[in-house]
Amino acid sequence: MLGIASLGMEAEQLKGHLDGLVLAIIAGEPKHGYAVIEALKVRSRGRLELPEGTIYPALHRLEHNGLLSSEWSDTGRRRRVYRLTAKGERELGIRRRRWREFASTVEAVLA
Amino acid sequence: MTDTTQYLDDLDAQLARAGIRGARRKRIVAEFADHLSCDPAADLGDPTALATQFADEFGTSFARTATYQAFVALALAGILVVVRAVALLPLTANDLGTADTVSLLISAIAAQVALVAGGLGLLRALRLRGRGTIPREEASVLARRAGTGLAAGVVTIAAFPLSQAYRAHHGAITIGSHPTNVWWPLASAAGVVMLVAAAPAVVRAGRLRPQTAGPAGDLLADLGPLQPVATRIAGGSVNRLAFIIAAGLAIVITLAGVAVNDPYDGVLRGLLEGGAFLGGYAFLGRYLGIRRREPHDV
Repeated sequence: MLGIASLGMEAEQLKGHLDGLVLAIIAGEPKHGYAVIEALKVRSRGRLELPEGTIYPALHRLEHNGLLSSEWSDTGRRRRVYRLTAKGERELGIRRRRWREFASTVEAVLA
Repeated sequence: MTDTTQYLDDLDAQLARAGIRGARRKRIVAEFADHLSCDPAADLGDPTALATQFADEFGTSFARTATYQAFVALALAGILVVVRAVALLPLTANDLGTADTVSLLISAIAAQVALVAGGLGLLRALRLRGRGTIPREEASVLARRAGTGLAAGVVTIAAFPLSQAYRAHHGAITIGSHPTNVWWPLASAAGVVMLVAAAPAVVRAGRLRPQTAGPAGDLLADLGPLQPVATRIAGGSVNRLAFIIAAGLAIVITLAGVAVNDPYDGVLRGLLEGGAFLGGYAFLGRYLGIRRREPHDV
């Protein structure tokens, strides 16, 4: 199993992108905390492995900032489910655009 | 007691220690319990570190929200104070008693405190906006500035109505029958309601602050892009900068007096304003994070 270090990424570097990653994961469909972490592992093919507990402060922060909303779901098990707000969708669009610009710039220099 | 139960109890205790209480704490513990029920072997991290991280996140968000809400409330209340001042313009000295004059003086001083506290709070919040989380002391400064701004704002608005009520209670003739009676009480009440509406955010920011320690900046740090210039002018001393601002204030007001052919009044008001500024700086400087706390104050 590959972790952050094996990708050559510092945890601090990833931290700067954590909000964008979480927004992207939740954009598809509403998810609870555990599902967010699992989806992150699957979509990164196991290469992004965050300390699992740290996802929750991020979820709460994004909710406080109006980018996510949440509610209790009682389908079999009581759990907090997060979904993207309209503000969160706009923010995700901005982050995606910035990332593509940044990546293409670095790619142009490195290539 | 299972490992999961022990972990959740530890997390609950650490969240309480970090100042996270009530429904918020229950919700966090419930989310972690759900996570562990999905994967009992999950490594969620050290409860103490997690509680600190939650407190840092919440404390930072709450301090920023309190600052912005307080500033908006003060700005709107400031507009209402102007509306009230216009409504009171038809009054003459004969309409006012000694208590009114004193209340208007208190109002004038409190308005300046509200402006400085609210404005500096906004400056500090803007300066820190790029940082994910802020140290405990910075959050304290934001909460204190917001709280002081709101309190001074309430004093600014409430002083005159209270003096009117005081005079009416003692049987004096108030401006109750004056045409201004329609607008000034309305403006006063609306202003107080706006300021009080922003108070819960400040209380919340005061109750839950970041756990991570770190130094807070001073007035020089508040100035942002002007900091290098101000540092050079004041030789890096906030005290010297305060004296320079007070002197500048006194000179400007004196010159304004000269411009309206009343230099004596201008000098007097200039000295009073400069002195009041220095008095406020001496009294509230450390509390509002305008000058740094000395090591023995921490």
